[in-house]
Amino acid sequence: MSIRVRRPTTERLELTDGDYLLVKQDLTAGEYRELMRASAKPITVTTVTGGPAPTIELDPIAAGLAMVVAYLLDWSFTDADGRKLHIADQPPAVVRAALDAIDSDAYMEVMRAVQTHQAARAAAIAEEKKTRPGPSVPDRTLMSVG
Amino acid sequence: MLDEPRVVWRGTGDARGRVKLAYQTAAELTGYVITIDPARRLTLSGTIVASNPFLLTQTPLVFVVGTKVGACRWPVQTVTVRDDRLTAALGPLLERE
Repeated sequence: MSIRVRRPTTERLELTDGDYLLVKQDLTAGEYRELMRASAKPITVTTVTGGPAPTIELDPIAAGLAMVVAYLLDWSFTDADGRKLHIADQPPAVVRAALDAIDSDAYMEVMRAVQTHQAARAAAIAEEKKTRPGPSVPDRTLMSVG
Repeated sequence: MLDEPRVVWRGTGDARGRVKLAYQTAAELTGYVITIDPARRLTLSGTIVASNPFLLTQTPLVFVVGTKVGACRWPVQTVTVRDDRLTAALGPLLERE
């Protein structure tokens, strides 16, 4: 049997000007589902019979924000008076409001950092899977014998 | 010398305390009280406003309360949930951030 629950671990991502982000190393299944839900928007398509059918499609703008909110735990950002912008342990709505309040360059830097982190973790997990013992697959050559 | 459990911390008003597994919240409490008994054992009790039953089975859990000067954390040794009430045995205060 294998371990399928990871201990919640954080990573610190360094930004320019000495700033940093504290992010989740990985998302849980529940967090991933929430990310998918927040990244989609409802649309209506026309079926082959001509009727309307509700479905969803990826909203690229919402998807970027949803990914940042999913991973971000804390940061070093301050307001114009030098007071820390508190996002740790705050509900997603507060984190989204803080992300809306920072300047657009800072937001793009945050998003790039989280995207890079996500890609690096995906590569690391893919590498882990290569060394994880998998189910034994019957040899197709032998199965065809007889 | 203590004769009976004494309240050492009380969350008043809408103050919330959280039982956490690292950054994940296993339970959020209101009306929480930490008492100390004559044997110097700390006990937490409070009303659950949100909880994750799976996370409550995991270790290591800590109980965290925010204060004006930072957060206080206690290690959670055992947890009992009955209806909307959570009771936990706590270890000594870990740190004030």
